[in-house]
Amino acid sequence: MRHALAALAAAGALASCGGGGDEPLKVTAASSLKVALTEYASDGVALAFAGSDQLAAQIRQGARPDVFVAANEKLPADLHAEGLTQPPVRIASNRIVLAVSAGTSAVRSPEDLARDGVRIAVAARGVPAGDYAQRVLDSLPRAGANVRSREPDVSGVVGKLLQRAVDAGFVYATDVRASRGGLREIALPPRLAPDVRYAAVVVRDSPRARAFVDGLRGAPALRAAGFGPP
Amino acid sequence: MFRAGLVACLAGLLIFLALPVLAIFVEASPGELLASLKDPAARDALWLSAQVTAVAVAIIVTVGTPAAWLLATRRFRGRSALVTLLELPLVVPPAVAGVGLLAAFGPAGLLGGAGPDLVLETAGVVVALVFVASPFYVRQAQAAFAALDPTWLEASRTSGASEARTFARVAVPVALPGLGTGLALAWGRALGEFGATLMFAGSFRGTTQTAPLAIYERFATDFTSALALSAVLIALSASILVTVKLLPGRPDALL
Amino acid sequence: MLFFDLRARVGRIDLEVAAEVRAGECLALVGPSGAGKTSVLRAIAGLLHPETGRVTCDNTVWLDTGAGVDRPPEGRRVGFVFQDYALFPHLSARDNVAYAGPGADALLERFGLSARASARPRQLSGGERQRVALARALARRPEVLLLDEPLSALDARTRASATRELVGLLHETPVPTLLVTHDFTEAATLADRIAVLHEGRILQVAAASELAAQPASGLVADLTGAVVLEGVARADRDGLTRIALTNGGTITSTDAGEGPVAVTLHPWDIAVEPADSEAAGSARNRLPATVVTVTAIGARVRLGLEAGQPVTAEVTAAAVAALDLRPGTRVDATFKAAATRLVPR
Repeated sequence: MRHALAALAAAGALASCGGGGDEPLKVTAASSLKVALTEYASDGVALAFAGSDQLAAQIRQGARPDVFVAANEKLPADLHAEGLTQPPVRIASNRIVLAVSAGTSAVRSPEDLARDGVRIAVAARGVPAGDYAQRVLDSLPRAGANVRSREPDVSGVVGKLLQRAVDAGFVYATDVRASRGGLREIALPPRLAPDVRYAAVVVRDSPRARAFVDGLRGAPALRAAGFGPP
Repeated sequence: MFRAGLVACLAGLLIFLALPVLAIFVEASPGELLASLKDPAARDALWLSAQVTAVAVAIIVTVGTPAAWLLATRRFRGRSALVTLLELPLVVPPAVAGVGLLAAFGPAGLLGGAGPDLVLETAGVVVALVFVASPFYVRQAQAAFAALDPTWLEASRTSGASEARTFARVAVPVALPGLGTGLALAWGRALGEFGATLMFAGSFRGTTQTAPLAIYERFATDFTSALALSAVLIALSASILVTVKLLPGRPDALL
Repeated sequence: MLFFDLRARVGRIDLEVAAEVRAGECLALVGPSGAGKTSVLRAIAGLLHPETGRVTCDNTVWLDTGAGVDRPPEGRRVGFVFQDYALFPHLSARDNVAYAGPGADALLERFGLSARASARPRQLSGGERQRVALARALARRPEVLLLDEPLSALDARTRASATRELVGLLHETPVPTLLVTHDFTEAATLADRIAVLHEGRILQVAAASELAAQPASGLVADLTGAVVLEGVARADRDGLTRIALTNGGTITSTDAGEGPVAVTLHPWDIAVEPADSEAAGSARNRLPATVVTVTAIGARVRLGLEAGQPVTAEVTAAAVAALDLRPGTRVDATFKAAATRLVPR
């Protein structure tokens, strides 16, 4: 018995010698990264997902994750300018797409968005997905009037689509892929599709955090989920 | 020693509960708060919240009071199971409630869009609020009716009053303090509802974006505005609670 | 006239009672707590549904389980006074009475409550609440009056005046009244006839004096242990009270009293001596009487005596034999001044 206790104590001491090696790495990230990051992260990483704007606001309020990954470049850049983080690193790109529920839909092209009675869901302004969606809507006259819900989180848009509560919505290409057939993508002409770039910042500097971010750039897990190169 | 421990517990709890509320009023200056409230979107959210909660509470009281009376005055088989069913929304997380409402009333749900369009409509918000808030009222009302001295009700019947008249002229007036408490709790719950309404009815200014949803939206972009709206909601909830406590005939009346 | 015949299971009691009460008459149901007395009232009022039963008031059938008739309480014109009065707490005295019918102000005045008309029940004294309850029962213009222990919730002082008022009220009331009490003296004072209830069954129905003098069983004898004499009291020397009995005779009591009183004492406190004997012991009271009935119950014998008023004495069978007591025998009934109690009438 005494030998076992001694062994445990020794193991504990060794572990804590590794510079906080057994403390999990805290990473907060945009919801759209859920599948990819869960795949990428090893044991010892604690992941939390929410709207990028929410997570940035929390950091401003004093939250201190180790790494923050956003669905745009603006939020991490702002945080860095405020002196709260290391410089942002572009890690991937994505596409904003027009999605409809699988099966028949009243919307078959971007032009259909302007028709009477069509119901559209987008993410709220301030949420990266919402800002991207708004750029697309701005170039489709009269479609904006059909927006019926501004969800605080892009997963809310996905949910509304899957429940057929709306006819169409703007989500990420990775969300369509993650829905495994629940959603269908309607191609947007290149002139309408905005540039979606994901950036990560180290909030609490440490070798582990830097390694995490560096490894994220172009990681296979990201590509497998449908993200594009940074 | 034991006494000191009791006092410490109460003091600790009071401080813990009061601090976030006080912080909201302290963090932003009155000037900033008022400026944020001039925002039309914020006013829309507050006005919508006032309307939908009033309608939801009206429905809950109208349907819930007779239901609570029935539960309190009759014994029948399956009564306990029925009561547990009515209490279910209490223990169901709001997100689960939202999922359930969609599964029942959504276009892809059980009723398959048979009834009126609820999703993304103000009516949908009311439905969600009725769902989450009704147990708060019905439980209180049932307890209030059950606490009535049965001889009062019998005296009413032997004085020539029917059961309906007894309900209206003796039971409800005497149980009013308890009904009032139930109303305040239900209204407070409805005012603060967030998850179920978001999932079921969405969030759109003027139609479905209630004050809590507006606060959530502003939390990330305009924290002062979030504080302002929160302060207004607290003031609203507090005034409902105080008004109920001012009702005469209460054992814990403020007057 | 009220008629009832009920069979019901109430708690652990199998209730089986039947009786009728004529217009203007007051029948008291007397028995220990738990005998089922209140259940009888509740069944007649429609608050309790017996297994089998029939209740009729004059020509109207209120309950007939065989024919499927069961009028709800609001369909039976009863005036029910509950044991704790059950006044509506949220209404004033006047509104309480008015709840049952018109004429509240007149009724309040009759009961001397006009000054308290706008008070809430919690502001009223016990006696006042009892009167409001009575007024409310009468406001209904009832065809039957049902009183559940109408005096038991009152303190001793209030009870005296309340008893007097209730006696007056019952004399005026033209409807049949059914009264429930555990106190035989109360029943004897208020009611014309008394039904003795024990474990759900009526053992005997008769006037108070007959129950005391000719109990059908030892049980009845034990439950109806009171002799009630009427008279007028006056304070006497030595701190005693002198009572001139109605129809002649004078007795002394150690109790205090003034004016019209009821004198109560127990049959077993009354001794019987041959007529015109010399007073030899400490008993101060001596009434000449004639034996009317001799009823044996086990080793005890109840003697019904006529001494201007009915008096019941309880003696041993041996004494009856020794004194050769039989109907017509003249005797002296003796009892101590200390054995009497006075109740204002």
